[in-house]
Amino acid sequence: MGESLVGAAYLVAGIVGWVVQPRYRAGPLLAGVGALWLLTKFGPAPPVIGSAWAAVLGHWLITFPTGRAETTVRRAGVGVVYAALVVAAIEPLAGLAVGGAAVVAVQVIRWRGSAAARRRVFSPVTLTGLVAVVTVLGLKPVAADPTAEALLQVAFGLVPAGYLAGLFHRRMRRGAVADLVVRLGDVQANGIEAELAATLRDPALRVGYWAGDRYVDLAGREVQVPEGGATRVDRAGERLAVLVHDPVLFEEPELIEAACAAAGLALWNERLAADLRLRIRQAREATEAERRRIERDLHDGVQQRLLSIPMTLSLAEASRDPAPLIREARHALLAVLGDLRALTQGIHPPVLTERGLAGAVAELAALSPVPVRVTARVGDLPPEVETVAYYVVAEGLANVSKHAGATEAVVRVVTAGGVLSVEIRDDGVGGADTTRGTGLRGLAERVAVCGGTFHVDDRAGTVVRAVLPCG
Amino acid sequence: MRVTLAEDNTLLREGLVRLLDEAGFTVVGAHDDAAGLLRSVAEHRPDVAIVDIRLPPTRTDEGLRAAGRIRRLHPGTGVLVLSQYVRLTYTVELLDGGAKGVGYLLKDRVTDLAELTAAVRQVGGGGAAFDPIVIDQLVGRRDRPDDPLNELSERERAVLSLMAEGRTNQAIATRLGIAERTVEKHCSGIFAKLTLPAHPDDHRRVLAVLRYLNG
Repeated sequence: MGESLVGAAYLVAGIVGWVVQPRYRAGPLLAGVGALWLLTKFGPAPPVIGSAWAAVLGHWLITFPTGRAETTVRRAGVGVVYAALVVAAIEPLAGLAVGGAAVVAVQVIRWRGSAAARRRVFSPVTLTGLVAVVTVLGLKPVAADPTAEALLQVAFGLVPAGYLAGLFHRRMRRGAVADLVVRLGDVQANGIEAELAATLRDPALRVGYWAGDRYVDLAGREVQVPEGGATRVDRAGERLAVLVHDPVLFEEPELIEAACAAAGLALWNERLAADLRLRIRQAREATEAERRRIERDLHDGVQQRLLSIPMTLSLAEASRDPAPLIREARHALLAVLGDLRALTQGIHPPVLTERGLAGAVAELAALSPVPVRVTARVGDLPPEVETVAYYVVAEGLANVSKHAGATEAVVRVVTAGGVLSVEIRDDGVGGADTTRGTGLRGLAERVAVCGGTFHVDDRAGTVVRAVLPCG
Repeated sequence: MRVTLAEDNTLLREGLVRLLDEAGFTVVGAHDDAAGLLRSVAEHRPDVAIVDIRLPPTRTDEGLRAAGRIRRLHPGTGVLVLSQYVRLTYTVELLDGGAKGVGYLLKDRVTDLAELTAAVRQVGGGGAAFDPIVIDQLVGRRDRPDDPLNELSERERAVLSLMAEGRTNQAIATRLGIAERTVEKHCSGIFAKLTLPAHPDDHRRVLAVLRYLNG
């Protein structure tokens, strides 16, 4: 009677699980355990069928909570559990020992994994399951004893009870996601990461916000995204953020989905802040590098040369034939002027001041040793956009004449729909590398600071393309 | 020779006036903007107008546009453009309409009294004075010991000198009494001998002229 009750408990718990979590196989597996168990109670069964319920129970424990053997360890564990059936047909106790050991071993391996995985071992289900397995291993040899028999049934009966408790607990955690929605209403800085970590119970969870070409945290620092340990969050079909989390959370996809959906709007807001901080950071770094370069040029070039002039002039004062020295001083001064001119060109191209972007691009094209066709249709542009566009064309054309082996280049600078598109295309051999050298990579940063995008495509010739917002 | 000038920097303007006085020119006007220069040219009809490219109010290219106006409205006045920078595109614009009585120099060149005197006399006399930097930027330094200009045939020289006067191929053909196609052939020969790179906008004509003028 008691044994039939235990079997029925498995069957009912399994069916409930099946209904509540139709995507998981844990429910059907548990129902299978109950059915096989009850089968043995209706009469003597062949040895393999008679202990099949035990193997399915092992299978269920190992693959909990999804019911799918997703890792190599778990697949091996499941294999061993079914192989133990064959062993049990010859020597029942040995089979039991092999199967039980496999279940315990998989749990131990899980325990040694991540912090989040460790907590799974302590879930009501796995705990009751382990108690059952250990009890069976300990008491089976003395199963004839009525006390031991009763204890065994209680231990087995605990498993479906623990499973139902677990289901209830998950419902509660769905409730936690609902709470998350409420709490996200007024989170402080960096609050979403903490709230998501708490809701998903993964203290190491990190949120990376999409910044056009990489994920960054709220301070604008890059977030590394490991393979197979991250979930992308999209909003309105656009990439928004990434959750870097413990891989074990993949076992509860519906929980992550619910949490991401709940956090979507808050993440979207925070991404704007993260993106802004990244751009400010880049702008600050670029400005600093620029200042250093100007300081160096002024110090090494202009200042040293200027110093030589009063020296030459005081020599001239003391000389009986000052004319050659005065001439020397004049030449030195003109050389300083040349240095200053080059420096000015680097700070802000004078031709931009005189003629705007279209005129400046025409001048660049005229100076290029490779023939250039220019299309320029630009209206009034913000000065910083104009300057960056100029350097994109200048560097693009310098690249064409230096590396491309091209016979012709085409430059297009066109404003349309609130953006300025800059494109330099050549018919050369390609092979531009944005990761090497400072030229193209520096450009990518300058463009990013203006909120634009920058691409180099060198599959057929080289195409350097920058799109800059100018509305 | 009478000269008027526009330069917005007071020190430079006074300096230029002193240098020009020293060199024996008569300075009939010294202005700090393009409007003043244009009035001065219309009133005095000087031999040469010297103009800085950046002038008030916008300090962009007012001087260059004033130069273009003077060349169109007062062909008798030569125009000498001064700038901190020498631009190929500006040279092309200035030479639109021929290479007579026009010059474009880096300000550095006129800090030397002799160079300034030579340039103003050249422009005032209907000649041209262009900064060698323009050519250097494009065709590189002349590393060949022999001047490619010497390799031109008599006919090519004649075509080039007419080109420098701002004449079209058709006008050159009429003047020399040859077919326009023949003029085109001579042009190709000139460009090849002067090793001028092909450009879609065809700056080669201007470059050939510059090479000839600086020859």
